[in-house]
Amino acid sequence: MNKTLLFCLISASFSAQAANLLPTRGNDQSATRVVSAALPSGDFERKPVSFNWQLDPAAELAAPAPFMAESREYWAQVDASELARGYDIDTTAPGAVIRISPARGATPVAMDKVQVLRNGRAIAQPESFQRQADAKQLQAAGMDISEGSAVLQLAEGNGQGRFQLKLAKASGRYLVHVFEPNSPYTLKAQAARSTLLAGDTLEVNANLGNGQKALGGQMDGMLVSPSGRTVNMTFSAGRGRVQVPMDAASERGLWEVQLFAGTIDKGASIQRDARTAIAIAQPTAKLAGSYQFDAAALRFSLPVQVGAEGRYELRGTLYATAPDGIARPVSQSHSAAWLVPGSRSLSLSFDRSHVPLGYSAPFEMRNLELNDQTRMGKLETRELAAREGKAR
Amino acid sequence: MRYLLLAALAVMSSLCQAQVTGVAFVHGTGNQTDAYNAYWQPTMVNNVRGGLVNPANYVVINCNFEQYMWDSRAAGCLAGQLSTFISSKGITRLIVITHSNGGNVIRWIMSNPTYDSRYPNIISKIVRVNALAPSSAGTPLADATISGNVFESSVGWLLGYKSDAVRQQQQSWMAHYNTNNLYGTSGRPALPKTFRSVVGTDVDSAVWDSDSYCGGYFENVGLETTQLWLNSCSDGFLNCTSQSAAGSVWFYDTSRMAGAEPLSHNQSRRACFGLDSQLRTDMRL
Repeated sequence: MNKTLLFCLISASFSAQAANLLPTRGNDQSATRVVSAALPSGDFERKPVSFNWQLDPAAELAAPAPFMAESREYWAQVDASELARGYDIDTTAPGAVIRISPARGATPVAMDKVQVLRNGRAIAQPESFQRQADAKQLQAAGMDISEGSAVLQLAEGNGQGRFQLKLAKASGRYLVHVFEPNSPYTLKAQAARSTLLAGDTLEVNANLGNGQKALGGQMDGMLVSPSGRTVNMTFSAGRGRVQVPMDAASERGLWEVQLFAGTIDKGASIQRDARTAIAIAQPTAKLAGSYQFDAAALRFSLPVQVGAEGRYELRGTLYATAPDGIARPVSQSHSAAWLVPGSRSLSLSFDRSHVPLGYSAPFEMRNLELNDQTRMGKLETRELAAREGKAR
Repeated sequence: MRYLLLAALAVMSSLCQAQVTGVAFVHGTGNQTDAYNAYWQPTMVNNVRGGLVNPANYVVINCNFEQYMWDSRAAGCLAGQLSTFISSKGITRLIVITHSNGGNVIRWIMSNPTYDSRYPNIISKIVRVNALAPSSAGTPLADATISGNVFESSVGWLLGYKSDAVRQQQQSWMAHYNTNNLYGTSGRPALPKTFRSVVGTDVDSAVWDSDSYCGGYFENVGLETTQLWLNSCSDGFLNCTSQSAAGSVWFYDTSRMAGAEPLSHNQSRRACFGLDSQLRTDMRL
């Protein structure tokens, strides 16, 4: 039996009719309201575009967990006077890498003028640093480091503990960044979600530890917008919380969670700073909650409530039931159109030739997303949005 | 039967003749105006395109990849230059060669076909992307560059504004984009066309070793220092895990380069150790 005939038979078994999307669950994101918003500046596509492609059913799909930041570093702003006297840096392992960057208007760092001291006594080269590079060398290597910066690695023979970093000819402010690639002390941080809507509450798990051993200590953090706006977080038992401002504007780029941890362990001062990225969007549109499935065309049509003019996209994965009864991914479809405020709709079509021979109903639409392409916002997600048809 | 066979052969022949293969060279981070000379250098471009049936079917892209990948000056510019190339040369089979962040820009196009009405035609012509050292999972160097750069209302960013491309290539940012905006990484749907990477695994910068000089000695010296932020397997700018995070690995440098030499991040866009020959051979496949 060829595939076309098979589909005709399947299609005849159920006609296109309206149904509700399956209830949200787990990590689904849903909007409860829509807001109006100005169109961002820029050229945006206005033509409707649809595209789909075949997936290998053997390649399983699984939503990746949010990024786990793992920090062995900290940074501090330091005045020239502190650097001239000798600025204390605490290290927990040999071979710490130190970057000194001048802030706007500060005197560039002359690499040969940087000294490292132990208990007030200077360590002479070559015993002090085992590697040095200036901004020009690092920029040539592709590292977009600020002009006037220097990177130095403490010689491993100097061990660990407290050192003083001294820069005699300094003026202005500097950023001192200490990175300890060999340290067992890490600050791990993971946001509960990687996308949120304005008004949502963000939770972040954070843990300062020595290997597997959790350490206590002080933890601070904040949510930072792409343009530098900050909102402080509160912490309790290693969990940070913050409510995303309702007026969080859609900005180019991602927001960041920035965490700062410190403690004393075995007499050593431990500092760690970590960052991780999340996206925040305004709910400029939402799924109305129902859909219509045209089995003959393998097309899902979904009503969408639009609050702000823009280009909106639906995307989703079609799962079909394999001969062994397991639903597997067979096709990926995207569809976008320019929509004005009001009750609108978008459709997702899948190519029937993408369904392998022997695969059949029930069909499932998974990983459904509604995206605002003009503002780079993820508005709604459904891990399992719809199930259609009965098993043969 | 004989006539049927001849007719079939004629159809096959016309189909084969109708195929026009072209190659596009897509640079990495930077605002390029002469990538042919400044980024790839003529030896690399000319040796690779020499493998085409018609070596004139090539384009060297010049766009502003200091921007976010989706920006009209980045992916929009790339889409424009690829579309012009495809239509002016009648390209039916497009092989795309990217380096570094260029892999992210083409992956944006392949992952977001509805973002721009030019994208579907480009995707339909692509037969594969040979991604040289793609920064698919970002780099700790971008994080190190940005870390501590706070915004102060009186003076702006403490260290000045870092380009959107650098921000984008921080590890947590690329993890976000891979999870939400890009395809081809673990657990995500496959890209609509093949995306395969060449992975650079190490940096040689010994002053007495002539291999250190291919691609520029000065650049390779800096890469030895940047490796302090990276894993033992890296090309001096990217961990091997980042280079192999999307699509499939075509080959690791030491498995195919002359003398089993590694390709540093600067060497993987140059005619070093036979990389150009590998790509040239691929033009006929």
